[in-house]
Formats: sequence, structure tokens, C-alpha cells
Amino acid sequence: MLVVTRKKDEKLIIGNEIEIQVLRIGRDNVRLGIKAPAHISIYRYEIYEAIKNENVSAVTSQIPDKETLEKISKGIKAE
Amino acid sequence: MWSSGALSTALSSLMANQLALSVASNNIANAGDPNCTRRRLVTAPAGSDDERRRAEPTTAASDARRRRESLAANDLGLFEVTPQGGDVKAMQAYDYRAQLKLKSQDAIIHFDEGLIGFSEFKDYVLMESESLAPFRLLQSLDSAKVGFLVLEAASVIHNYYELVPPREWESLGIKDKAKPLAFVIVVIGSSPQASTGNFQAPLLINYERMIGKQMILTDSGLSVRQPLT
Repeated sequence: MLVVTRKKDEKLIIGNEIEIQVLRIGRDNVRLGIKAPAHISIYRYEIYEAIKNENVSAVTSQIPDKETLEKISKGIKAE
Repeated sequence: MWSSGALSTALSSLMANQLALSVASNNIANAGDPNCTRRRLVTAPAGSDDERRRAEPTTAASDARRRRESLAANDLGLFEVTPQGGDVKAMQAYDYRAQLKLKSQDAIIHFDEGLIGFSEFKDYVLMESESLAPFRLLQSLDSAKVGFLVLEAASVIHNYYELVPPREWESLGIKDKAKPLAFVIVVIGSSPQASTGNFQAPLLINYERMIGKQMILTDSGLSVRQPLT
């Protein structure tokens, strides 16, 4: 891991397009500003992990039998 | 002969690579068993299964390539992809018994970033059938083992499209708000109440350009395990 020390208002650039700026330094948190092209997705890591785990559990779950599907789709239609 | 459980799992994994249909029918066959509803079966993200790796002593890259080639070669034996005309080019058939064929490249939806956690799987087809409705199966063309049961988000949350920020639609080139399309990945439990959809991370699809993206709605208050009913 590359480790860099930055002061308030100082920036990093990643590649040619992604800029990260230290906006504020608190007691136990920092506030960062990120400038990146629209096609780059930026998420808090723990949220990304939660979605990833959910995707994995969806892919490893089974396709249910027809009766279960019917029961569930009826429930949805009844909404 | 296949006395070892690990070995027979590996075998079924191998077979699953070649026969997407047998994956489906295995799932169906086991689904009757109440202990099996959430059991990890032949579907697994590639590369995470040690047993499979032992059974196929190849590098991940060559493995992926071979799988892809084998799927491409077997395309004609795997999927029925028939553009329905009109706006939605969904798979017409997901029939476990019939031999299905991939007739057209038009039905392939390209996810440039893959799905979250599945970045190496980029090309999918959306399969539908009466027996599966209202759900559809988003099946990876790179691996028969990667498939997601999905549901149109607006069928559960009627104003769902409004919850997706306009810039997300625009990032996919969807400007016509009359034809938005978002699916959520579902996990089916034993009952409707135990079945959930990931409404926080929908799949947005542009059917005109056949591209898709999984995005995260961070401030929506929606859950990754929102009950379907």
C-alpha cells in the first residue's frame, strides 16, 4: 500500500483524472473531496462490501421450485 | 466410484460448466427438499471454489477462456434468445426440459463493470418463461454458474424509477423517461415474507444499446434485503 502524508487542502491525483483533496481534518475522521469522471463509481467501502456479499449469496442460492415461485409471485401481485 | 463428497461436488461443478440446463434441473430437483432451499449447490462464483480448482488444474485465466469457448461452442445448445421485437429484447424461453438455442447476439446485455463482486462477468442474457414469471434469470454467458434471479423493481415499489437519480440513468444513456428499466436481484426464501430483493443496488438496463450497470442508491433508505411482500 502506498502511504502518503497530506495536509489540509492538499490533493492527490490518481491516473490523469481522479483528484482527491483533504477538505477537513477532525479528531477521528477526515473529510475528503473526490473529483472523478462520471463513469467512475465511488462508494463507501462497507456499502460496496455489503452489496457484493448480497450478490454472492444471490448467485449461490437456488432457483426455487415452481410452487414456491407461484406462491411468492402471487404475494407480489396482491400488493 | 464417486465415494468422496468433494469429488462428486467437483464433478457436478464440471458438468454444470457444460450444461447450464442441468444446473437448472439440478436446482429444481433439489428444491423440493426443505433442507435445500438455500444450500450452496452447483452455482458458485468462479474462482472461489477450491474443489473445482482441484478438479481443473488450470490457471484462472485459461479456465475462464476455456469456459467461454465451451459456452460459445455450446451456445447453440444452451439458450433460446429470441428478440421479441418492440422495446424489450428479453429471452423468450427458459424451459428446463427443452434444448435452448442462442440464436442472436442481439440479446446479449453488456455490463461494462460487471456486477459488484463479479467484475469479470460482463455479458449476460435475460431469460424469461411463464414458469419463472414474474421473475427472470439474468444468466452470465461467461459462466453457467453465474446467474441471478431478478425482478422488475417497479413491480414491487411503484415509484422506484423516481428513486434512481437522473444522472444514473444518463450514465447509461437513458434519456427517455418513458422507458426506464431497473431490476433487483432477489433471494427466494421459503415463503413470500422470507424472500427479499436488493433494492439498494438495482441493475439499470438500456435495452436500446443493450448495456447495463449495477448501481448503489446510497441515500435512498432502501435495503439490500427488502422483503418482496
